[in-house]
Amino acid sequence: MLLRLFLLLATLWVAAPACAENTSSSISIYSDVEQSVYQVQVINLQTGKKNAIGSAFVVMDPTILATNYHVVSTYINNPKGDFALDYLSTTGETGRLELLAVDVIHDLAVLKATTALGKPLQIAKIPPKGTRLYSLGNPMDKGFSIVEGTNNGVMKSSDDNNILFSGSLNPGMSGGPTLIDTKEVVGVNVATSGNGLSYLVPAEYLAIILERLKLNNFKADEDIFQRLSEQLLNNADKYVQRLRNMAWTSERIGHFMVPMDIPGATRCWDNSTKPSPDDLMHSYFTQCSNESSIYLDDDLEVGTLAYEYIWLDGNNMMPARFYRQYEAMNASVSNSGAGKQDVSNFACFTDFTAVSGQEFKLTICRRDYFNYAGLSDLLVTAALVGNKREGMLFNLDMTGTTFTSGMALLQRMLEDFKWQK
Amino acid sequence: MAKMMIEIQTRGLNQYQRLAHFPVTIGRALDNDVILSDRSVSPHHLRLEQDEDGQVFVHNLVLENGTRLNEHPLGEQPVQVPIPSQLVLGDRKLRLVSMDTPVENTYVSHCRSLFAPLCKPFWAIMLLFMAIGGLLVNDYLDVGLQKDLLFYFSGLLPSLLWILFWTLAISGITRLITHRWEFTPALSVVALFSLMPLVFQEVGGALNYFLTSDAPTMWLVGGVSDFLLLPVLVYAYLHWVLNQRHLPALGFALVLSALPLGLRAINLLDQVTADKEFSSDPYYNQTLSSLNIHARPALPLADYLKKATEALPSQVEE
Repeated sequence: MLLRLFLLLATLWVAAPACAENTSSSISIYSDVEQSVYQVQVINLQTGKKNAIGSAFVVMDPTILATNYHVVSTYINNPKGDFALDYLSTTGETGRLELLAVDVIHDLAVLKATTALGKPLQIAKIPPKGTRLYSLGNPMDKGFSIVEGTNNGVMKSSDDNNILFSGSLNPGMSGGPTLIDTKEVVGVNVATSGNGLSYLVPAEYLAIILERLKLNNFKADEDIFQRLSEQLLNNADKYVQRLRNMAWTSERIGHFMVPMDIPGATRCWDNSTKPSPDDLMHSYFTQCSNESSIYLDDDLEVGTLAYEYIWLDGNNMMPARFYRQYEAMNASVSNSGAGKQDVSNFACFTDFTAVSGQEFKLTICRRDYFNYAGLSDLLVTAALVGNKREGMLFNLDMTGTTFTSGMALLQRMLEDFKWQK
Repeated sequence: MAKMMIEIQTRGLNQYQRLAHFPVTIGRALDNDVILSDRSVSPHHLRLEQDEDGQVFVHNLVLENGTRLNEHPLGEQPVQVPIPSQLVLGDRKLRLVSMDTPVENTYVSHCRSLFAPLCKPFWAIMLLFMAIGGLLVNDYLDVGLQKDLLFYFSGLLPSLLWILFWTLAISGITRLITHRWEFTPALSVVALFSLMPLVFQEVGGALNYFLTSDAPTMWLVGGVSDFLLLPVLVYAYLHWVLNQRHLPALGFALVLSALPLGLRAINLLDQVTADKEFSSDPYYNQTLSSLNIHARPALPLADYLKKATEALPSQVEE
C-alpha cells in the first residue's frame, strides 16, 4: 500500500513539471493533428459494450487508420463475428471499421472506415537520438492527450527493434502516433515497461504495409490467419538463421564450455542459489533469454527463446544419493501460457547421444499450434550422464518457431559444447 | 439305533456331546442336558425326542428368539430331524451328527511350502531388518542435505510403529480364528509388505533407465506393488498359515483388500483421466542412474537429430 502511494506521488511529481513544460509547439501539434487521431474500440456484439480500446491515426488516405495489432487482437482471434471494430473521434463521431491487414511481428494493424475521417498524417524516418517527440492517444479512456518525451534510440534486436521513448505511455495510448515537430509520424505507441519507459514501433514498418495495400487499392487481406502464420513462420526462420550466424560468447560452466550470451540477441543471468552449510552438493545455474516476444492474444505470446545450464557438483556424495537429487531436478517445463485452444500436447523423444565426447540423455519435445500452421513450441532438455558425482542439465525453450529452425538452433548450440576437464 | 452327537459350534474349537438318553433338553438354564450359555438362547429352548423306530423329533419349546432346522424356521409342532442336521437356536449354531462322521485329516504343521521359512523367527527378524534397512537407505538417498543419524531414525519411527501395529493386528485376528498367537508369520508378512514396494521401486527405476521407458515402474509399482501385493500376501497368509482352502482364502483376501485397492483404483482412474487432458507440461522419461547402464548405445549427434525429427512429426494437419 505504501509502495503504491509512493509510486502515485512519484508519478504526479514527474508529471507536474512535464505539464509546466508544455510549449507552444505541443499546443500547435495537438490542435493540428487532433482531427487525425481516433480511438479504436473492440465491441462485443452480444453486449454492445467495448471490450478493448486503443488509439489510432489517419494515414496515407483519409479513410485509413493505423493502430496496434494487440489493440484489435480480440477481434482477430474471434473470427466468428462476435466482435466488431468501431472508431470514436475527439468530437464524438463513431462508425464501423474494416480490418485490412496486420503485421503481427511489429504489432501493427491497418483499418478502413467507410467515410473520410481526417487529414492523413505523413510518415518520416526516425530522427536522431535526443530529438523531442510528441505522443498522442487516449490514456485509460480518459480523453485525448499528448505526452512529450525524447527519442532514446532504436533498441537492439532483443527488444524488437523498437524505439525507446522517455515519455510515459499508458494503456489506451497504444496505436496512437508519435510525431516530431514537423507533425510527421515517426513511431506508433506500443507498450509500457516499467516506470516511464515506453516503446514505439518505427513508422517505417507501417509504411511497408501501406505501400502494399495501396498497390492493391486498399483491399482487405483475405485470410488473416494465413497471413499471420506466414509472418510468424518467416520471422521465426529468419530469426534463427540470424542467431545461428551470430557470434555467440562461450563460457565455462563446470567442465563444459557452452554457448552463453549472443550480443544483441540474448542476455544471461546467474541464478545460482546461495550455498547453505548443510548442502552436500553445489549447483551453478545460468539462465539466458532473448527478453522479447510477439503478442498474439491474451496470455499467448510467441517468439521467446530461453536456455539454461545447471552444473551439479556432488563433491563426496555417494553416487546413488547424488543421482537421486540429480534425477529430481531433471524436469523441464515450458514458460509459455498457451492453452488447449492454442496448442497440442507435447510429444517427446528421448535417447542417448554423445556431445563433445560426453554422454547425454537428450529429450526433444514438440507441440504444434492449431491456428498457425507450421508453428511449434520446442522444449529440449539434456542431462549429462556417465559421471558418478557430476551432472549438467541443459534446457532450451523456444516458443512459436518452426520445428526445423528449432532443431537447427539446437544443433548449433550442442556443437558448441566443449568438454574441458 | 444309530448313536448320535450334538456339535456345539464355537469359533475355531467345536464341542461335542454324546446323546445317550432321550429326551434331551437344550437351553440356557442349568437344569438342561445340553447347556448353551448364550443370551440369545431361551432358558428351556428345545427338546429332542426319539420314537421307537429311532427317529429323532425336535420340539420347539418357546418362540422367543426362534429356532431353525436346516434353514427352516420351526413352529410349535414337533418335527422329525434327519441326521445330520443343522439347528440354529437364537444366534447359536448346533449340528446333529452321527457318531461315525469321518474325522478330518490332521494338519501336521501350519506354515506350509512357500511360507515355511517365513514362520521361522530367524527369517522373520531378517525380513524386519531388511525392511528397516531398506527404509533407512531410501530416506538417506532421498535427502540431499547433511543430516544427523538421529534425523533418519526419527523418520523411521512412524514406519516401525506401523509395522508393530499391523503385526499385532494380524496376530490378534489369528488368535481369534485359531486360538493361537502367530507373531512370527504376521511379522514376516508385514515386513514383506514394507520391503517389497521399495524393491519394486528400485528395480523399476533401474529398468526404466535401461529401457528409456516408464513402463517398468508403471507395471511394477502401479500394478504389482499397488494392486497385487496386498491381496497376494493376505491370501498366502490365509492359505499357508491359517490353512484356509484356496477359494475361501482368495475371497477373504479380496474382501480385506477391497478398500485400499478401491481407493488406489480411484486414484489411478483420476490419473488416467488427467493424462488424457491437455497439459502444458511435457511427459518424457526423466530417470537418471549413476550406473548408467542402458540398452541402446549413445548415438552420434547428427544421427540422434535425424531420429528425433522422424519421431516427432507435426501433430496438426498442415
